[in-house]
Amino acid sequence: MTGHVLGAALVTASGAFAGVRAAASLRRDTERLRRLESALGLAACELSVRSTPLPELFELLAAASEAETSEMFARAALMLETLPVSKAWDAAVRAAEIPAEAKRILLPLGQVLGSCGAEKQGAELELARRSLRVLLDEARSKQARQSKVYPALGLCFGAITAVMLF
Amino acid sequence: MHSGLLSAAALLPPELADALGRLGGLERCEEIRLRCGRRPSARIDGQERPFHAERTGRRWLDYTLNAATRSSFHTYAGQLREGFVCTAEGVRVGVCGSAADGAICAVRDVTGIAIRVPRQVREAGAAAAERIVAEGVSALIISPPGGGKTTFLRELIRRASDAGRRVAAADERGELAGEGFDLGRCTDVMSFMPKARAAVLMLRAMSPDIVAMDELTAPGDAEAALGCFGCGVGVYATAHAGSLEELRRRSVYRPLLECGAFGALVVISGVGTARHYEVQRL
Repeated sequence: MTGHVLGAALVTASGAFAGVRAAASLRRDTERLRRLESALGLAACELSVRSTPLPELFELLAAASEAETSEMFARAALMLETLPVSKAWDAAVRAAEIPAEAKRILLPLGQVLGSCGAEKQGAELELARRSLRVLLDEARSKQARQSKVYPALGLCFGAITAVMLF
Repeated sequence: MHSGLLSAAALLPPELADALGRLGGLERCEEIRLRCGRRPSARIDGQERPFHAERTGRRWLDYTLNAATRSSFHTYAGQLREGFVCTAEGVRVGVCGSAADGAICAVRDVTGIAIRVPRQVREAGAAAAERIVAEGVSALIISPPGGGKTTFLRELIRRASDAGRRVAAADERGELAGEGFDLGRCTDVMSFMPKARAAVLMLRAMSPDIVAMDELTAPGDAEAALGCFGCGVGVYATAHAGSLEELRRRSVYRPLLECGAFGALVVISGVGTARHYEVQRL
């Protein structure tokens, strides 16, 4: 009897945990998009105000960002030592742990970064930022809607499973 | 290879740098040229010699320009508007191509690159430089393009500076004072500023005995030189011309010659190690 109760509790807790994880994943995606959007804003500012050379810009963005965004720019800075900008950027973005839609927005920047005037690069960065903001807004809405639902659903599913099993 | 040539070759794609390294007479190389659709060439002893079988394409031009600008076209946009980039090592890279709104706007617009190989030749025109410094006169240095004027001016600045004269160098294109060049112990340098303005600012701020300007080409440059003379400051300057007669025919230089402030004219002729430095009294 005690075993059944323990088992049911574990199954229920597993369901709840799965729900919490799903909610956390939503939060993570939102944060990742926010960091990327913020980094592009800083990049545009650096280019427009200080015309920062690209190697230094990537290092600065790596230092100013966190987590996967920081890693992406650090990787880009490293690859720039041996590869042209387009290839270094492509490799860094593809290897980054960011949503696929964000990668699709960022990849074209490799054709522009460092290869034309600051104004044109700034315009392209702003365009990418706007696209990221749309994604970010969608992610935030989804998070607001689902962040409470997922844990509850998980808990219910766990409880139902426990009842069915035991 | 001397350090200037190494710095210039470092801007080239590896396969071009390797091919250049196998070229005979490389130590006398003055310039490397990449022209879209043409074989890469090196100027040695006044002749352009191809050094690779393939013709220059987009990939080599992009590589070289990205190397010169550290993949940062935007950082060098000001220089590129004037048709050149100067690297930290003092390598001047001239660019040409398709302009939009009066300027090259992107790497892809560049169709031709000329890499000027910097060199400090400590004995360049040693006797001529020694004489000018000893006599304490202002000097105008002339030769056709690529004739060694900047190299000689660098040497003249160094000798005057090491003799204790305060020299203010208006280094508009960053060629005079590149990394590794010795301009002497009493030299101040203003880089990447139009030389006329640089001369005026340094006259006011740095109390020079001599102002040095490379390539007087515009009326403003000549006016700045006259301004220096008016303040009792000597001038070392260079100009594109093959002779005094050619100089006199150009309206930009006539006021400078007529004012009588230049004490010496240095006419550089010949190529490579066979250069000749003739000092004429003005």
